[in-house]
Amino acid sequence: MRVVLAEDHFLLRDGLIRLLGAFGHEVVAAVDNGPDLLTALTTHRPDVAVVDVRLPPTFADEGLRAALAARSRLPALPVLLLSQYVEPLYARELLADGAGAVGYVLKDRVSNGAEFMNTIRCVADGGTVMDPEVVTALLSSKGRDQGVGSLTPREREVLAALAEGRSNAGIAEALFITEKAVAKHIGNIFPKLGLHACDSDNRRVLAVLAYLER
Amino acid sequence: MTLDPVVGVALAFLPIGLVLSGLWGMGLAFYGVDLSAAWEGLWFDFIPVEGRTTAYLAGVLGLLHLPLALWLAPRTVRAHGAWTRRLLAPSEAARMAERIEHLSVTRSDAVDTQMAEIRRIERDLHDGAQARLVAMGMTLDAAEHLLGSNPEAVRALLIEARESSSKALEELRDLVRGIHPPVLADRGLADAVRALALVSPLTTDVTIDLPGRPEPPVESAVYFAVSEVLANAAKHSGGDRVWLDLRYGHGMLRVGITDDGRGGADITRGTGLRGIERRLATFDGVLAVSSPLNGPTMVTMEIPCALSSPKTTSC
Repeated sequence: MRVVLAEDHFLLRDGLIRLLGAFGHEVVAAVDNGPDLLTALTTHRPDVAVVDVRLPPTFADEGLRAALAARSRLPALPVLLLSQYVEPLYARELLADGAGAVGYVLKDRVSNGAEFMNTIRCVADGGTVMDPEVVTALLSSKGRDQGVGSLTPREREVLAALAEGRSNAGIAEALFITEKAVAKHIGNIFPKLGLHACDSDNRRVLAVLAYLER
Repeated sequence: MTLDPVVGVALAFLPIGLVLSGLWGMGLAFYGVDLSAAWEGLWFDFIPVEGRTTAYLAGVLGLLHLPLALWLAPRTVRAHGAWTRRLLAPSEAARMAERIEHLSVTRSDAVDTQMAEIRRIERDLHDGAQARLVAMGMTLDAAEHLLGSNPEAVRALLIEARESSSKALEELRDLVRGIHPPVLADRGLADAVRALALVSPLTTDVTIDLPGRPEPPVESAVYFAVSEVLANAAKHSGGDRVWLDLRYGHGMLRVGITDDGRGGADITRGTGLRGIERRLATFDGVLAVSSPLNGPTMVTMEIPCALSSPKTTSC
């Protein structure tokens, strides 16, 4: 895959380039600030962009803004945002266009190389990946929601894994249950939340996240 | 003090007197000549009424008294107000003394709060990230010793070290959130408050009218105050809906937070609201709580502050 990387911290940028290279991906541009990122994204049109949220010159949410600006010009340009902190408000902004092909995860996740590569692959394929921390925050905000309240503890776990963007196989692996059991749980969860069954994994994630942000 | 009735009567009577004397002057235009003859000379204001001409002049002057009285009336009322305020309000010196008292109390509160904050940060670092990093160093050291003899054990130790590092990061993140939340730094108060509403367990309706950004210390104080009030509402109110209104006008930032819970919140009980009150007082801000039994609870905050113009970004 062709990757554009935006990370202002030298050590992390270097590490990410090496990590991506080790898994056979080509970093076509590595930038360290917001304006350069926007240029790189629009000229290279990468298969996926890996972007740090906080970038110079403002050291605020420059990376997020550049990513959103690029996606408004190149719809559904796959972008994986990395951050020291995850903020549900930013997740909502990333998801707002409903196009998918976005990821938003903590920088810590980079330390598990194989899992991180799965995340990148999923986003590049048009999927949606949310950090478990985002999902936990959104789920806890639904403490008094009737729909979420009516779920069994196991169904809540499946819902959380769903919202993180995992496939049935991924959920089965994470929760140590069979894929058949996962399908059964999902079949119970969707009617309880008043959601319609979705034909694709990505539509399913977006529907669940939209429900949690309501 | 003894002057007060005299001043009051004088100020109250002045416009009425003007009207009466105006009417008298206009009367003189008709009967002035006769009266002057009967009383052997007669003056109206500065006009000696001696014949027809001067009598008419007195009449015209009398007529002019009426608009003068109209013009004067509201001003005498205001003058009386100012006089009364002078008598009743504390003197300039008393006001200054009160202000100095307030400033020294809020300053020592601010210093105490800051010190407590620093101590908390130090403790959190010491018990949290620092301890984890020490443990991680020891784990890695053990792994190094086992490298030749027991690769399986080394793998377990490395996994443990990685877990320690993510725990340390998690604790550092929580710590930073408690000091200065990233969303507040990135986006300012309006979005930070929206972010709070987004993760609140209560359904929160947010209305924000904030045309710029307050100074960072004010933003931070208001953010933590809102956060505390929302947490209180979720924990204690028993309601399920919150209305949050944040607006700026006439040099004053106002936040109103209302829930549909059972009410009965008391500012004198519990340290949360007290803490907010003290934090806001540093900026001459005030906190008011109205919470009758059976609700609703309404918390209002007001902080005088200036706004900087909205930040424009380059992309």
